[in-house]
Amino acid sequence: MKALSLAAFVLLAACHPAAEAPKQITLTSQSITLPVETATLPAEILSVNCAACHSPEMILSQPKLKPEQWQAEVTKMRGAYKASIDEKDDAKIIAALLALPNQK
Amino acid sequence: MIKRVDRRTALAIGAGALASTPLWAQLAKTVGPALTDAFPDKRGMILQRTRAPLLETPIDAFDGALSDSPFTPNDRFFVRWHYDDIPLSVDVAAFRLQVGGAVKRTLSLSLADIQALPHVEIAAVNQCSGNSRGLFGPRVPGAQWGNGAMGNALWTGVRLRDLLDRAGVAPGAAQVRFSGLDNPPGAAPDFAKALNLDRAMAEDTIVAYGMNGVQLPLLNGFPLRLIVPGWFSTYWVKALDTIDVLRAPDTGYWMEKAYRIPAAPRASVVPGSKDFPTVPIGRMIPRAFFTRADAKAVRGVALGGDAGVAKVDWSIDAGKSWHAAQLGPDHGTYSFRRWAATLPAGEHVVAVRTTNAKGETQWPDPVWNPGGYMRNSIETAKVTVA
Repeated sequence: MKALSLAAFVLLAACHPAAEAPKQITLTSQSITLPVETATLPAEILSVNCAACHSPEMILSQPKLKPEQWQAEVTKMRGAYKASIDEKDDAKIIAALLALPNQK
Repeated sequence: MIKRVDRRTALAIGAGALASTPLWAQLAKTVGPALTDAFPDKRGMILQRTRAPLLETPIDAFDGALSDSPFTPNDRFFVRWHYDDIPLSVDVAAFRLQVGGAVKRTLSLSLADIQALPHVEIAAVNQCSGNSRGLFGPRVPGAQWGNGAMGNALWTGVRLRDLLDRAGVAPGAAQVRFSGLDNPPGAAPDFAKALNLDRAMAEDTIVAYGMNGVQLPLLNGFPLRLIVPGWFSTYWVKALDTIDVLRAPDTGYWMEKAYRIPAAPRASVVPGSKDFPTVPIGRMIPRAFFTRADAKAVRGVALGGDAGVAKVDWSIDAGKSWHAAQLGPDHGTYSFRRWAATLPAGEHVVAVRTTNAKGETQWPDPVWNPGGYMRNSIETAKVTVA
């Protein structure tokens, strides 16, 4: 009986190692510096209107989009995200987007 | 450059004529972008965008034998911020989490206050709503993620409901809204997400201060991050500093306009469709991924979505017959589960699929929606076994 209890205890101990109690996680203040952007856009009208809110890779990595899809993106940036893009520039912006290397 | 698998190619699995160039094989040839070590506390990441940071985990960072840890190292864990004004410095003594809105008493909690509460640990996959968007056909705009906008971690924190109970949720509360230390540019809408009260009060919804046993990297949401196991990452608000209990559903941009999926089955519509009914994205669905497929090993990781991985099956005859893969140790309902397949000798195109504990599984034909969300079609790989 005693041996059995001991065996049971050993088994339990094996299943529930002391390490089960999670260790306390220490929180310490953090500061980071982000890397400098390297990608550039080939047209000034894109740098001025698009790169204020995000770096150029976002545009340069897009799949080939139709003019109306690019227009929808510009409209979304102006409407939903309140980007200061003058509607009068839309045609020039779309033309510059369609001329990007990733859009060929 | 990641090539897409078009609809016809993927459909061919079900039709019996298998894809000629499997996606994974293309990815494996390291045709993708060079990896970057330039971001603090990160290494070997695929750079999708410098500002606001979008960093993808290369698929081989998930690879391992069945018995290996299924957790993604913090320094390889994917990063996704919406706006460029993100917290670059957080003072742990000064930080406060505010709990307010429809509550009996507002709270302003220090990190010490939070760490003094009972803590819980939960293993859970954090997957971006747009994971695999770059593989959609026809292609859709947005971050062109491959399969690496996901990661699995052991999260340590306190139950959200313990915080809400301390504040006392007022009668008539409908939702709980969350936002963090990041700020929108100009008049853009602040990033905030809301959960229905029942999901917020669920016992596995936690406010985490630990990720794989240590504090979170700033890029992953230090000092606090909301963890909603089984649901897409859009709800896992980073650098969480504000919790608001709402009496009516949140009508903000990030719930009403963004991160919405078709209400149709599998969140799929005919490519090019517009003006279909939508719902906010929510729970995840099963997926299996290859992390390696060569003469020595065919293996990967699986996730069950909002239910555990029940089984992972592989097929080398275009889905006519399926065979059980071996599974690694179970780390809980919401964790990655490792899988491995032992294939007969020969040249194969191997397909792999997960079935979760609710019986949900994966299908060969890919879904399509304009946001590039909810992809979970069956992945294939070309392999020669000697």
